[in-house]
Amino acid sequence: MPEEQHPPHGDRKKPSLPEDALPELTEADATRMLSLAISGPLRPVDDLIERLSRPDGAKWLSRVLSAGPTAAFGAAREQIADGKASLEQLRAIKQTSKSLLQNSKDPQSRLTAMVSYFFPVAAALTHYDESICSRPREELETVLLDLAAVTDEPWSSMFSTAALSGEDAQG
Amino acid sequence: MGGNEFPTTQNTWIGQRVHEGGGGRAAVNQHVMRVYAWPLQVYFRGTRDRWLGEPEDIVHGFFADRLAKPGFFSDWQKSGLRLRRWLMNGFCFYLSELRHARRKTASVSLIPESVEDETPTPEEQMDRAFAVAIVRQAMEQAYEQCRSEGLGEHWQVFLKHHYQGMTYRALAGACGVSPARAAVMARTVARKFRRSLRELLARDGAGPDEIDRELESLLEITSHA
Repeated sequence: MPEEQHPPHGDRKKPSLPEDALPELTEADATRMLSLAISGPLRPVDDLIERLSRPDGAKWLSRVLSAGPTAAFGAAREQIADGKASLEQLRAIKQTSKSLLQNSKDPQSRLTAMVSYFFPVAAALTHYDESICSRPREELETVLLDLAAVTDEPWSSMFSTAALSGEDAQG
Repeated sequence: MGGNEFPTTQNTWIGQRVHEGGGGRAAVNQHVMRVYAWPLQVYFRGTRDRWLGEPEDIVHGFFADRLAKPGFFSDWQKSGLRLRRWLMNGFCFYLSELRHARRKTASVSLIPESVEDETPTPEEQMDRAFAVAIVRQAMEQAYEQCRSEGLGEHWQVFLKHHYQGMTYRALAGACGVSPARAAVMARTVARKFRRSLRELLARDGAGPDEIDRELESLLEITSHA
């Protein structure tokens, strides 16, 4: 091993970060952090996450929610975010989204279908603690947290609550 | 410098900056010094050339000598090597030049006749140091972004969860947010960190399709430390 294995900490004479902002990194720390950056195979939902994370993502979402299957039973905010839609209604929206997805021929309709899929799925978990899709729990949690990170309120809270519902919030 | 020397598919950031000349070239040199100085010092410490001087001085000397050469980065691009390998090769030549120059003047007692085998090799040590250096740099960039966007609290949550290993539930108590909110805050910063780290690997020469493989290779190296 080298004589001195201290990792870099910016300019030693004038640290570029406050001590409480970023402590020194060991190789074990670097290993843990490197694994965070592996993206894995591209998921279809990544297109939706990318669209939502654009500067006009909130406006776009608002348009989709007011015109797509999510508006079938009334205003999306009340029905989905506030929990007024019944579990059966949420299932119905999700089912509609599946056929929409199968028949979609352009990126915009695929994105609309994904909104209509994941929003009721999250609402069912948040308001009824019920999973209405067959995706593995771990995979679903990751997707829901990703969606929570790129949406504004009230959607962000709905997705994050759904992601950690029924769990001990360990991860 | 011809515009075709840096195709847009690879090395975009460095290629564009070098093409700008002046300030752009200075930004590239600054990036190289920030990310690669420490890995090169680690490499140097693992070689039999340690008698040549202090690692920091030797690496600074290398940068001063080589980064000023007009074709340094275009030659790298043509080589198809990762930037860290290109720098390491250049550094070896530089050490060889120093060795020859110093042997003429150094007293015989300063020059080691042999050095015991080092495990791991200097190359492996440099790769490990590189992994730590780019993680560090990506964290600095993510931190700066959080600071400029008023997400200081998000940064703290990210650090406490991913770096210190606190659970979201424990974070909720410590930071006064719900576990779900803590998860989202950490996720938001993790996206910034991921983007920065992947961009740094792209600057090192990894193509878009190679970045995951590069990360796995670095993980392999650091996890066997």
